[in-house]
Amino acid sequence: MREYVILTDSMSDTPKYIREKYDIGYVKARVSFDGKDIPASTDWEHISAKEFYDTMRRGTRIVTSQVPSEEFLRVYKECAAAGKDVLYIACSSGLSGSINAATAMAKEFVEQHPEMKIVCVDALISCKGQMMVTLKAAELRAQGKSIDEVAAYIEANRYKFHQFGTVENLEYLRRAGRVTATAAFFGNIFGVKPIILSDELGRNNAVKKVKGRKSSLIEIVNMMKQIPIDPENKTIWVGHADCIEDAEFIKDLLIKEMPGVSVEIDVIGPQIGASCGPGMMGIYMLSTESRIK
Amino acid sequence: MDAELIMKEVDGEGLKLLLSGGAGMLATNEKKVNDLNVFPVPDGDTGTNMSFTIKGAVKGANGASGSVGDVAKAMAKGSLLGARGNSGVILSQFLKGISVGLQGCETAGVEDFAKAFKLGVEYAYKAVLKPTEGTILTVMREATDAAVLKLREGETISEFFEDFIEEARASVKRTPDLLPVLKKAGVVDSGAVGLICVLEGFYSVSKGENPIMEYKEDDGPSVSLSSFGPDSKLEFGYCTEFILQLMNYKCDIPTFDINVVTDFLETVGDSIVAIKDEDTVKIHVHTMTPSKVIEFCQQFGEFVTFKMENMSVQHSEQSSFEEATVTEEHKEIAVVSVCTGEGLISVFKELGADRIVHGGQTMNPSSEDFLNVFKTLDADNIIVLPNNSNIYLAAKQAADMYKAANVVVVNTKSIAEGYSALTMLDVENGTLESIVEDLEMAAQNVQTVLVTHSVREGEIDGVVFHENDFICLSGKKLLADANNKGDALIKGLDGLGSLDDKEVLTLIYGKDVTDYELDRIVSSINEKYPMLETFVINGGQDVYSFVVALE
Repeated sequence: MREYVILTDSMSDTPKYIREKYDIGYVKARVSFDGKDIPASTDWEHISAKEFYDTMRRGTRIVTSQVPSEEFLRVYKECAAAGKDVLYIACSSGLSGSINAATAMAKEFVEQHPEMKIVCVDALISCKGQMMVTLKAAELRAQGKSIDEVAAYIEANRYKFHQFGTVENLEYLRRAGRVTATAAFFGNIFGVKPIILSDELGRNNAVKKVKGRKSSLIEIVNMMKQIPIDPENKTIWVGHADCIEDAEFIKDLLIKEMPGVSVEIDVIGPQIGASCGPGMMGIYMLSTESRIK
Repeated sequence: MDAELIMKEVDGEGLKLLLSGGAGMLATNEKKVNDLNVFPVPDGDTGTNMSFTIKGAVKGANGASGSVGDVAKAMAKGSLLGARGNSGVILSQFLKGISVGLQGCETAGVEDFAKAFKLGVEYAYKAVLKPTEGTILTVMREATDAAVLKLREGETISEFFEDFIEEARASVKRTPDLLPVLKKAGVVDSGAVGLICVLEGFYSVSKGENPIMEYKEDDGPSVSLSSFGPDSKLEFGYCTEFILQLMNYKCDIPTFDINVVTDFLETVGDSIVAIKDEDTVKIHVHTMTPSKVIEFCQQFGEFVTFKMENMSVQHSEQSSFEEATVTEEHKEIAVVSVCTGEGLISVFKELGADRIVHGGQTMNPSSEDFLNVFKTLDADNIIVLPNNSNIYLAAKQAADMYKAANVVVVNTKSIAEGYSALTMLDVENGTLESIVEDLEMAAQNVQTVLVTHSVREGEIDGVVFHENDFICLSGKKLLADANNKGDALIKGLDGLGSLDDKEVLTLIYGKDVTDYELDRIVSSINEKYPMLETFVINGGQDVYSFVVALE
């Protein structure tokens, strides 16, 4: 059996230490602002997280673009040279076109490299949820599962990864076209915070309104605890867009409300951050139950 | 019908006379009843509301003929439509009960009235979710019981009314003992006083006296303000009618030529009638610019009577029945909200209110106003936000009367509650029940703080206030008094104690607030309450300088 590389992208916000620990490859999307065009790196080597979010707070519009085809070509070439196959766990197709670029490029690439296998799987979720899917794939690979077995497992189980999120201001998501919500949601709603779930198509779906930031943080925890956590993986990931205090509040609440869980906090990378805006908060877990359709 | 007959038996015509007597007496005392207001805020309108209600009854009754039962039925219908405010709705239900009691009667004797009044009390109690003692309800119940108990062989209807009034007067004096809020304010229940006025009118007619004031039908509840909104067009102008007393120092009366007026009127309007009768002139004109007419005519005299009506309102009123033609798409759930003020209306519409019923604290819409708005909607379900506890019953009554859709009234007690409920509205997610529940929860989560000016001096809840000061209230509590609106609000917010459980403060400012005042108050709030997310809305409302929603 050929070895294979598990590949993730900027949208999964997988930090460097985790990618290194689990041997996960990385392709980057891009963000541009103020005339600059930089790779959307979760490692923040081009701009610090604080500086990035402060730029947004000042009102600078940040434009995102999906992972360029050349970026996939570069990685495919590297893998081919190393004699490895590729399993790409892509950001939800409901939010990014990266998987299309990856698949189209793969098709062309394997024509010239018939010995090589490139499998692209839609995680149907983004951010730390996508990262958890990727980690699951790495875990299965470590158990000796083949690329096809892992891909099949992910396709069958990806709906069990849940996202409960909220944003300070729905305007960012709306401008980015990355939320499904009715017109009424976008009214002149001062102080109203949306609760955003990842739906069965991997889209962000605004399902509920809550008044006040703190109430919205409490509500996402309340909603999460209604769903059974996978007893084999009781790690909850908290992703925040430069609001560490709120993340700590969420962490304490999760530990109190869901005994036995472990909680990891991390800042959200530039790609998701640009779409959701500063103050975005998402909590992610693996459940034994699928998302409600 | 002569007085002799009324004393023994009342027929349909007799009932009409009683009602117009009641309406006349109440109209005469309207201001007195309005002034019996618990809070010193400029919103006392119980008298006005009850007056609209009884005028509705008169209008209904006058449109019917035949037996006392038939006229009573029309009276009840008219009063239901005209009912405004809580006391108005209670009165309309009292009349409704009476009409049920008189059903089938050709004429009604004192026994019939006794029975009908008892039913009236029953209906009135049923109209209120949680009947409060020490109000119009207590007084009508005690007075009816006493009058029924005193019934004796050969008693006249006039004597029955007299007994009723005697006990009602005693009962109303006891209302402050039953309701501490009245005692504190040093007033008696206003609705009860209004009821006594109506019965006094009945009594005086039954004795063969003329009612104190002739009731004029055309200034009644038939004007539906909801038919003329901020986006309406003035299509038909104003029907302007007046009698001008020519003044010696302004013109030479004997030689004054009426053609001078007619010539002018032709330049600003049509449908002109101008008659000179010795030293007075009667004018009727339809015009878009009544101010020009007034200015011109005042050169020659002073106005003795004056009546002006927006004819677009009349027009849409008349057509609202035929106008069942629905132009909008069918909705599963439509939302109707009461509010006033240009800014608020547009905010409410933006938040998802399909229709606005114009009104508020000083202008309680009637059940008919609601019905007229319901008719313009093509919806399976209508959710109504009355946004005032004094409008709730009229909305509820309209909801019960309306059959073309299922109408649910959410008990939003203030504009702030209504605003907050609307911000949480999401008609696309969930069932009617869950949506209504969300709105109710949102409303319950709101603490409303109001600032308005004081109309008298006094002391409530340990707060001394002066006339024309600004006072800050929350719920039934007077929080603060100050000589400017900003200080009143800041002191009031201080008086609320800890706001730690609150996250969002929405400040809806009225049309009397200047930019300077607004800047000052907003920076004070931001400074004092940095933990609150503060939002400012230009509500443009009357009466309340500030409406604050704390959530």
